[in-house]
This record gives sequence, C-alpha cells and structure tokens, in this order.
Amino acid sequence: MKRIIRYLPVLLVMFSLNAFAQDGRFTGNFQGDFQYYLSDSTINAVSPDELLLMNSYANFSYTKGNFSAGLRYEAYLKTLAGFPGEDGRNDGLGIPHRWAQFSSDGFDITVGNFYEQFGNGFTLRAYEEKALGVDNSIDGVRVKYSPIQGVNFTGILGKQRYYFDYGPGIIRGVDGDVSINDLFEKLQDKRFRVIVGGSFVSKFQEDNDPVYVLPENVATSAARINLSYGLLNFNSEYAYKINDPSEDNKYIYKPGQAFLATATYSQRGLGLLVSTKWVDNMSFRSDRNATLTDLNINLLPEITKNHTYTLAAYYPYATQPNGEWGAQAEVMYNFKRKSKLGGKYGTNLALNFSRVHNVPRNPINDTIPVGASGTLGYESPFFSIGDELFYQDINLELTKKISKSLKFVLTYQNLTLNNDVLMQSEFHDMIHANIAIADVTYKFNRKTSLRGEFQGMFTDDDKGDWAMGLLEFSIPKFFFTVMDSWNYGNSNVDERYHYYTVGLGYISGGSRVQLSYGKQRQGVMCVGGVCRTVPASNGLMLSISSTF
Amino acid sequence: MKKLAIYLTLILVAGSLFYACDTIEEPYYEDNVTVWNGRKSLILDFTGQRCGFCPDGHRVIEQLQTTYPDAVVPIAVHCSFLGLAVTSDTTQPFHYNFMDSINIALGGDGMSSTGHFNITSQPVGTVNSFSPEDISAPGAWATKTAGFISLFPEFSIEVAPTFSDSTIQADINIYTEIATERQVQIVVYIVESHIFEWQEDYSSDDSPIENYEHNHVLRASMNGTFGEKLNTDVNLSVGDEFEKSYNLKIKPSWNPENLQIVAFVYDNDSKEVLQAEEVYVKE
Repeated sequence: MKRIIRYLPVLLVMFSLNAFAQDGRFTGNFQGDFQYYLSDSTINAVSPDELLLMNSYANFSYTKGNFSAGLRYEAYLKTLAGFPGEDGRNDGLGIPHRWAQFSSDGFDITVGNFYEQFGNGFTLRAYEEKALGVDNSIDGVRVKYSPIQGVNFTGILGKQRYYFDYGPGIIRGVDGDVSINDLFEKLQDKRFRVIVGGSFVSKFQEDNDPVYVLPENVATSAARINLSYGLLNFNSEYAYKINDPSEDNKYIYKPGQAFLATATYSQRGLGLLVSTKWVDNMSFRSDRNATLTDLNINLLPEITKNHTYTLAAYYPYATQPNGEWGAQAEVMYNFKRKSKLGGKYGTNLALNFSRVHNVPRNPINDTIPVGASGTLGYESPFFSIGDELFYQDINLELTKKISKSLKFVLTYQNLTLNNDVLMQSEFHDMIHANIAIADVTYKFNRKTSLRGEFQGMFTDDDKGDWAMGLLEFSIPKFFFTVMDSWNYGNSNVDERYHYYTVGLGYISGGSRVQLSYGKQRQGVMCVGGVCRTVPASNGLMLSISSTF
Repeated sequence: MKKLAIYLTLILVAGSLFYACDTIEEPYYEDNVTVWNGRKSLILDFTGQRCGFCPDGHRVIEQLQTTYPDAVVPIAVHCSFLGLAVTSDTTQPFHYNFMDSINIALGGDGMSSTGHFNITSQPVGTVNSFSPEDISAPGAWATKTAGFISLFPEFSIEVAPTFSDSTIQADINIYTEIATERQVQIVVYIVESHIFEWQEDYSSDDSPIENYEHNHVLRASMNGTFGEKLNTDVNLSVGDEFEKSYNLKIKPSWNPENLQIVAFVYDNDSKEVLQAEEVYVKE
C-alpha cells in the first residue's frame, strides 16, 4: 500500500503528460553498466555470487511552456562492486525520483524530488553524481520566488533520499540573494557590482538516544558576498553550525564553522585564481549516524584540483569535514598564435598549486582530552592553521597543437599527501610522488585519429612506481582502446602486476555502446571532493548509453 | 501592499526557522546515565586471612566490578598481623603464607615492619591513591570509585604479556591522553586469583571457611615496591609515549593460569593513581 501511495503522484503525472503530450517536448536518456566478474586472487579481485551485476537508470522528462515533469527509473541488480550501498541497501528497482515543476507570477514551484545548492554548498547541496553512486536529492517542496529583478528567494522542505528509501531526518531551508546594483537604478550601469546572500538550513531528527541529550533541531546558517569589478571577481562565504553531535565528530557538542574566499581574474588568454578555505566540524547530515557518502545535506567545496588522468588521480584528495585549511592558486595563460612560444596554433599553459593543512585543536580544559565524546570536544580559533600537512599538489599542464594533425598535452605533477589522514592504502606516513604524463593525439583525417597516453608515477613510498599506457584508435562510429597500468616499482617483486584492459566502442548519434575486458586495480575515485573506494576487479564490462 | 505582505510573510517564515534549533547546555548526558570514560580505579585492599571483617571488603570489590565492569582493578594486599600464617601444619587453618616481601613492604607485618601504608587495623584500603593518608574503610570505596568513573584518563596503558620457561615478560606502553605537568611513577605488580584457602569470615556461621576463594592476591612486583620514574621532563603532551619491559620468574607454587599483571601509574607528588590496567599472563 505504501508503495502505491508513493507512486501515485507518478501515475498522475504520467496521465497528465498523456493529455499534454501533443505539443510539449519529451526527452530522455538511459545509462546501463553491466559487469561480469571473474575471480583473480593475485590482485584480490573476487566475483560475487551473482557473477553479473548491473547499475542502470533512465530519465524521462516532459516540458511544455512553464510546466515540466519527469521521473527516473533506476535498477541495481545488484549494485556494482565499489558503489555505496553495495552491501544490499542500494539493491533494487523502482522509481525513486519523480518531480513536477511550474512557474507563474514570479513563483517557481517544484514538488517531488529536486536538487538544490545554497551559496557554495556550506549549508545545502543536494546533488547526484552517478559515477560515485551519490544521490542525496530531497523529496518535498521547493518554492522559488523572485519579487523583483535582482532579488531571489528559495525555500525548501523535505526528506532526503536514502537509496530506495528516506533518511530519518526532515530538512528545512531558506536562501536568498540580492543584487544591490539591480535594486538601485543609479547603480545599475556601474562596473562595480555587489551581490549579497544568506541561507539557513535546519534539520530535524528525533532523539531516542539513551545516553546523550541530543539536539533534535540543528541549524546551519551562512552569509555570502560576491564583488565584481570588470574582469575581477571576489566571492566569500562564512557558515556557522550549532551543536551537532554525530558519528562524524564522535558526538562532540562543539559548533562548526566554515569559511571560503575566492578571487578570480580572467581576460582573453589569461586566467588567475586564488582561493582559501577553512573548515572546522562542518559535516552536516540528515541522519547523525550516517557515514561515508550517505545523507549529506551540505558539501564542502574542494580546494584542490580534480585530476582526470589515471596516475594523476591515483592519490586524490578528499575533503576533511572535521577540520582542514587549504589554499589554491592557479594561473592559465595562452601564448598567442604566431608568437615565439605560441607557435603556429598557440600554446596553453596552466600552473596550479594547492596545499591543505590540519586545523589545530586545543583542549577545552585540563581534565578532558581533545575530541572526547559527550563534551564540547576541543577549541580551534577561527582560521587557525596547524603544522600538519595533509596534501600538496603542484602541477603544470601544457597544451600544444603542433600541426593540423598533431596535438599533445604534457602534464607534470609533484604530489605530497599524508596517508595517515587520507588513508588511501595500508601505507603509513607521507607519500611523495612525481607524475609525468604525455597525451598525444594524431589525426589521420577528420574522423580517424589515434590517441596515446603515456604516464609515469615515480615514488619510493606505498606501492612504488607505476607506468601506464593507453592507445585509443577512433574511426567513424567505432573506437578501440588498449590500456595497461603496470606497478613495475613495487618493492615486493611478486606484486608487480599488470592491469590491462582492451575495449571496443560504438557510437551512433546520441547512443554509445562500450565493451571492455580487463583488470582494475583497487583504488580511490573522487568527484567534487567526494570519494569512494573501488575494489580490484577482473571481468567483462558493458556500458550502454542513449538519449532521445 | 501585496508585495509588502509577501515580504512580511517571508521574513516571518525565515524568522520562525531561526528558532528551529536546539542548543544543548551541559550536562550532555541523559539523567541517571553513568558514562565510563576509560579511567580505571585501582583499589588496594589491605586484607588478611584471619581478619573476620575483611570479606566485607572483598564483597564491596565484587559489587563494584559488577556495577562498573572493566573499570575496577583490585589488588588484595595480605598484610599486617591478621595476614600472617599462624602455623606451618597444612592440616590446620591459616597455615598458608600469603605474605611475600612486597606485601610487607606495602602494609607491614604488624610487628617489626610498618610498611609504606602502616596498616594497623583491617579491612582498609585506598581507591586510586598510593598515599597512606587516603586509607578508608570498605564502606567508602563505592563512593570514591564513582567519583572517578566519568573522568577521562590522563594516560592509557597497554600491557602485552608473554610467558615461557616460568618467566613472565610484560611489554608496557603508556600513552599520554591529556597534556599535563607531572612526575609519574610506573608500577607493575603480579597478582594471583582463585586460591582456595582458609579465611575468617564473621558474616558466615561456618567461619573460618576452609575453601574461601582468594582473588587478586598480590604476589610480587616486577619493578620494585614503588616502581620507577616514567618521565624526566614533567611537561607531558598528548601523544607522548613510553615503553617499558620487565621480566619476572614465577615461584613454583603460583599457578600461571591464574596470574595477572597489574600496571598502574601514579603522580609522585599527590600519589594519585592516574590509570591502571590488568591482563592475564596467559591470555
């Protein structure tokens, strides 16, 4: 019965869609990932009882004028290894995501599931990232209202999605921003522009704990400002969270704080970015006992570069919501065509630096150790920076087109990470690594090309040196890939494994089919500051995606 | 006017949300909840086989061990006049010698030696103290122990025992949990349980009892009566670690299955016992 009630709105939407369908617009897409697993004891790859697992979903949405509605069918039979909830919580099929939206008279109203972000995400960021298996959409009501130009309000209330169910908490939030220039006619044409904003998000969860007196209503509020002058932009936000004892902070009652400031300058051929972030005790979930990627209400923005090349992404950084200070600087410069360094087609250079430290913690008095459960925990002065290095990344990327047919990207990366904190393998202490990558593309003609990636990671720590090579040959409608990652520098000679993959892909319009066979090493994959551990696997993988 | 109404509504909604949060003030625990934060209580029970009220003390310890599992570390220091054996005839009551040199060094023998604690009446004991000034009757031990339960330990102690060729080895790691300024002493004793021998017990009609179970009986010290100094620099920071290793050959009369290592640290000035740990020699 509960199911019927839950899907009733879906059926209603479907019926109404039918009525409207004559002149509206239907869109949709499908993604299916199937993997057949083989056991391989050498790399610790195990095959599940089912042998074949699948993650798949399909979106359907309908838009007509100022009305839109949609749903997503999802099926995980069973969840692919390494995805959140693979222990069974995520297994199943159904329509966990459906929504309808319309706008009228300055109001924009959504009922059902929605994604939303307030400011930089300190107070609220409901989002999905299928590659990580993260979907923390809110099922409820969202009202956006813009009474006049430059003034926007958003109010939300709902429960958070927890796989095919709901989390135990209720989330309420309001957000608003005001463009000062738009408000006053005199300021409208000024180059100096100011936008101020604020948000407030509160969660409710019952306190049934026999030991602790827990806050049932926990609020986070934030204020932000955006200043711009011509090509220069400055953005800053400060957030404060009241006591929120949770599994993340081991049940301490200390309030949390977060701060972010980013300045950017960009003009044709030049981009500059400097940014700093300070976070203390800012994990915020709609279930105080949730862990990993479950039921996060907020998302603390990342302060390090997200790398995509295999070995550059070997040791990703994961935001530490319990406390971190970080800074990042980036310069992008384009040497013009026909200049000395630009050559015939121009040269693009990007230099990026980021560094993350701990936040020092002082005891609250002489009798309570730092971080003790059932106490205030510790004291950290605002924007205090500790001596302990978590992560440092210096990287340089050079993109150059030599001729009409030859193009390459060269990357160098110098990486230091504290594996006692980030724990990406069993290795203890600091990991220092140098990574060099060459990505070369040669075009035989407009539709036929060969791309090669040659990567090397050089380190005396953890599993030692790695080499990786990839060849990708593309012809109209088809592509072939051959790839090998080789841990040739492993101090244990018996563990100098090759992780090879061969693949074949077919592309036609908006559809794509890819079949590959090979081994995947155990690793950590991060997108947008959220990471998941990927177990080693060996098997056949089929991936199908299509849109209409 | 319509706009004003909408603004006012928005402000009211936002305002009411601001009240929707609960700031909790101390105490953070529910009423009637006792939380043990890891601080253990060392109870030195100065007892004797011929002391008829001493089993009262044993029962207080048993009760405390039931109330606070893992939080109580008892040592039965058989000492003073009532602790002495009165005969060597093993067919007679009170022939068993519970009193090794460590017992006399601590409690005295009631005759020529006073020992550190100078025990003249029994049963008495101390809870988390190595000072004779803190001696109290068993009736006070529960209250004293309760006072330590919710405190956080300044140190944690890990004892890794090994036993071979009748020799006990204790590898001990002491870890600083709270920054402090103290000169700390580390003491490591051996105790034995499940010794069935005579005991006077005035609460029983059958006193003296022939097969009374004697537990936590102090046998020896692995590093002297008062142990040894742990630190030279009195400024201890969180994470400061100390490693100690001691050996002791057991006596043939001791049953290794029932032997435990008791390690504890105390402040050399205040004599407060700051943390204690016990493990079986044969795990």
